[in-house]
Amino acid sequence: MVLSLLKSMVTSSRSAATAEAEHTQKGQGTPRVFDFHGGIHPPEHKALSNRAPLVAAPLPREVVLPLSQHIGAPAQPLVEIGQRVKTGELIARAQGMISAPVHASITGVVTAIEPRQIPHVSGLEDQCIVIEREGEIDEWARLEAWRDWRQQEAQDLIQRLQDAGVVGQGGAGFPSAVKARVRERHAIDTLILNAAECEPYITADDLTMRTHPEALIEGLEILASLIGPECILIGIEDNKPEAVIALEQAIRARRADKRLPPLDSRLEVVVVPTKYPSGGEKQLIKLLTGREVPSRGLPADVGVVVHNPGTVRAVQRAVCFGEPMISRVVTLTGEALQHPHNVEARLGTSIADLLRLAAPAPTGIARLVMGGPMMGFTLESDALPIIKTTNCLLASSPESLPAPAVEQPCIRCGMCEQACPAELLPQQLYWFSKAREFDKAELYNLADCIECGACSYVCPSQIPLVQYYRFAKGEIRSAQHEARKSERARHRFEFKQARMAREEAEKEAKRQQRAQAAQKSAAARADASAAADTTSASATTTAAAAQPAPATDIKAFKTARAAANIALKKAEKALKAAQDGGESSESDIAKLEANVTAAKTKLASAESALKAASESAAPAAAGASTANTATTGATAPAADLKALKTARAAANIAVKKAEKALKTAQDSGEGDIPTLETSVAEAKARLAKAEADLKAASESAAPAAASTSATGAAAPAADLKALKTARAAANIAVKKAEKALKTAQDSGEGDIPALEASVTDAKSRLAKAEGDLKAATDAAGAAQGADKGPVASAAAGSAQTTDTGAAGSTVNAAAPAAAAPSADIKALKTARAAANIAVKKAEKALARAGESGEGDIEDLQTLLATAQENLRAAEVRLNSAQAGSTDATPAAKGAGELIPEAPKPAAGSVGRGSMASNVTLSQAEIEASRAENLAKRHKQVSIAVRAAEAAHRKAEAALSEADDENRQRLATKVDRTRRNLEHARESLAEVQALVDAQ
Amino acid sequence: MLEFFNDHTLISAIVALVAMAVVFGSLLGFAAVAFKVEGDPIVEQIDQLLPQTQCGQCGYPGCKPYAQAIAEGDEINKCPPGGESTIASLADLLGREATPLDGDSDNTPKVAVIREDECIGCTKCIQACPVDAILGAAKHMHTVIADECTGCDLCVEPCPVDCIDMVPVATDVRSWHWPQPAGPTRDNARFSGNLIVTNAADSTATSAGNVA
Repeated sequence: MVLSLLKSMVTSSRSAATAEAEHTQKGQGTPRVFDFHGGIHPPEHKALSNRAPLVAAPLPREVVLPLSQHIGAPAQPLVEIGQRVKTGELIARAQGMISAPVHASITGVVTAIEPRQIPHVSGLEDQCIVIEREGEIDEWARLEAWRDWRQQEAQDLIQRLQDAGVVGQGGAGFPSAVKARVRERHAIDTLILNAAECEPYITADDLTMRTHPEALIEGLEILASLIGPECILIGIEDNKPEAVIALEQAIRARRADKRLPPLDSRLEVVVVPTKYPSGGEKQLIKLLTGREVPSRGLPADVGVVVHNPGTVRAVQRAVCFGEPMISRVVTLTGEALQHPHNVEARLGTSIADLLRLAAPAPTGIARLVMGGPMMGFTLESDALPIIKTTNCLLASSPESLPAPAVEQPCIRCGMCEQACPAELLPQQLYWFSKAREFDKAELYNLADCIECGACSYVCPSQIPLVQYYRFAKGEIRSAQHEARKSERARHRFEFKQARMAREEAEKEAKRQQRAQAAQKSAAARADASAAADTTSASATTTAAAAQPAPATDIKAFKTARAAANIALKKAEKALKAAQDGGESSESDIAKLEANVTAAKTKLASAESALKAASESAAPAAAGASTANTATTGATAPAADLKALKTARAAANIAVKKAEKALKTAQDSGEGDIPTLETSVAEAKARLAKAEADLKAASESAAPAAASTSATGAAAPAADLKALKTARAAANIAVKKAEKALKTAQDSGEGDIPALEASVTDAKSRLAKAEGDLKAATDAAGAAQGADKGPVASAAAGSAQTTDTGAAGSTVNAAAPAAAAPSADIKALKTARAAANIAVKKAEKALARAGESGEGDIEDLQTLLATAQENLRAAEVRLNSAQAGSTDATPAAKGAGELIPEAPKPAAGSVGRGSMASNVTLSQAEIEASRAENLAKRHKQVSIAVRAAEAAHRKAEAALSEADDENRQRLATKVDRTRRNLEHARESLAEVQALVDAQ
Repeated sequence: MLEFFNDHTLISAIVALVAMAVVFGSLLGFAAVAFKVEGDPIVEQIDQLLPQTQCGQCGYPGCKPYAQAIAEGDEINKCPPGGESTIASLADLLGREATPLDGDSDNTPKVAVIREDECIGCTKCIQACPVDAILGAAKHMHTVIADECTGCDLCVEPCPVDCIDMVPVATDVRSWHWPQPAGPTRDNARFSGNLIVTNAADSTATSAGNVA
């Protein structure tokens, strides 16, 4: 409620102010003018240039047209070098929402599209199109002229403004087409022509108004037709009486012209007192309407749109004559010019050419400023083009614009606050900007500073206050840009993390699927063999097929049985219903009966299949539990134990059920009591058997578990991983410490002994971590060995495990060949790859050291040698493991084993057999695979040498044909290819030597 | 009842205080349950301050993990791309001492550039890039999306042909902004010409008159 009250108060006060303004304007004929805070009265110097008439500058020989003469995205070139263009032809099109196209301003040939220095305060280069004039012709490529623009759609008119590249000529260069669309979002009641031109020296707008008042009135009408304001106000300072008279005459003439429709809205010239910066957009709005543009707001927020006379004239020319914006009025003024005046010049004309028109004084120009003395900027050179926002070129003598005085400390006099037209606190902003406290500066509405320079002008300490604000604004802008960028980087990073996690999960799922499929196919095969010959299958699988007897299979059979049972019941029910109803025909009943019989057979077959499967599984389990301790010990199937326990529980339940059924039968005196009794007895017997099985299994598992714990197999993979991480961390710590030490030594600063101590400390920690890790790995290796090894080693217990442990990695590679799972080979492969990388890294480091001549090359060479040694060892291990596994497979097959893929399920006698054969075979196998690998490597290396040769030849050929520019680059390339080639040849020689040795 | 309280002011005060304690305690308890903040907001806040280059120079695989580590008590001076300003803002947020940066303080913005004619299309840099700013396919030329590159250096090391350069981001007309003025009693020549007319012009005109 309070809010709405406040709101209504605000609106009423605003409308009251507007009404008052309108009343005074209407009533007395001399419109009321408001005032804005602050402002200054610098010397005007307008008389220098406003007495000579506006003339057209001669056509330039060459124009340089920057692609970014406006606010927003730069235009995109559409022409090619060497292309002929006509005056007014589109040469670069706008891209993006806020942008403007660029048109050729003379007829000629495009000679360059390149970065050139542009008239920008930074003095940096930007992309420009350069056109050279051809002869004296000025051939136009106009758009369609719309003398009767009142017949055109508003949309077409806006499009025309866009196509003609009309942008605000006041200074910012905001695309006019975007401004003309303001009605889409804001209700506009006032269109203002900003003819105040408050900045000293500049008279471009003055001369435009005096020379082309009718064009301005028509341009305003066009804009008004697009925006739909209630009134059009021309705000003009009282130091331009000729312009006021010219405009008033033009308005009277327009009103008197009966051929044209009457003006839609009130059109009035409002003379405002001369005060800088009355030409500031917000200040002029305040002067003319009494409204204040809100902080960080736009004029449209208070229902106002402001245009500059030059822009309005460009609008009129674009619409009525189809002329794109290719020229503008520029004031040539300053004490260093003998003939200061205004010219209408083509965009892209060189500043030097224009200044020549105004006859520079023989003493030369002390300083050249683009724009006015308050808001303009000094140009470093006059070899720059004029652009769409260039309103004045000020060539000053040393006396008129002296170099700024040295900045003195702020005395907190507060004069800047008195002068600020934006009602800010310049002094506070100065302190915050200077101390880089930008958040505070923002809090004090730095963004509302219009950079008019009034505060700097009045500052008795000659502090360049505006520079501080510009600096702070720039910093804030770039910080915002950084923040946006980092936000985007965060999103992208998180997205990548999520994607990687998803891919990992998908891979894992696929892997599991494959494993399951493999298991299933193995089970199917096992089942097929079981079905083919139950007795023989059970005989053969007794010892070995403990694991393949798949629980899943039995489950499937059970499901099948249950389904058959349900089908049978359904059929029976249907039959019964049919018989009870007595409505169905005989044939129907017969059919149903047949159905029931079929269902019964099905059920029977399902049951028999199930029975066969469980039978084949049961002896296997029994065999596993009783006969072969090694099998259970090695594979120690906790799952098996569990299955047995479940079986016992099931048997128990069955017994209870049977007993209950018996009891119910006895109680009720119905049912087949003897049958039930038998079933109870059977169930009990089954229970007893299950218990016996379980007991046997747990007994056999116990020694296995004991051996496992004894050998330290309890040190699980997780532990190993943790230790590895610890080792890596210690490694990093050592590296960091070493780096710090090195830096300290280099700089000669810092506490070197302390750092050395820390390095030693870190190293000792690393050593400890490595020792831990090694011990753990050894233990794990031993455990693996014991686990997968033959009965003897398992039975021998801890005494032998120490031996196995000592054998360490060799055991890991050679001994458990039969059980050597694919996972092991993979691990070895990874190890080999890691070793390979280490070698490469060492080689690289060595090469770098050799090139730079720094570093301990001998050390690096030893490092390299060690790495190569490691690599060879890894390869040998891998080869032997592969040999072992290939060797184990046929052995296992020979034993009549059903192997799904890897020799993993091979156990017991099979394991023993392959073990024995492996010991004798592995050496030869290793040799063979080594030779094979070597041959492969030889081939690869020779290919690499040939490729390197070709690359080198190519590089040399390129170098011989190269021009000076590329020579340097190509020479380095040749160098590199030569090095590559040498390297490749060396490797080839090495491999060759190895081959020869074999 | 009322009389009793009137007579025993001590007891009535205790009763009143206890009653208030119960009321406010239950209010607080309710608030603790109803407005419970999920997660650790400080990690988010720290993450906001980090530059998100994801370069891993702090020893953690990205800015978020480092933010997590800081929240758990790690040092705040391990972020070279953020530089002193990030340390200052982190110190501000966490109420810790701002310590000097650990590592090289070179935090000029850089962007990775692939020398495209040397690229062999191995995709190693693509895998290394934490923000997916490199485009390319196996055995095809790769290129960096400059706008998305955080300049983290992580793609340089994996490149087998060393064709990635880290180039400082050039200032152009659009990214340029005014430098800080030199301050009182220093040479302000850099800004000459931007503040031309001053009240003091008359007094300084003679001294500056020799410049021509």
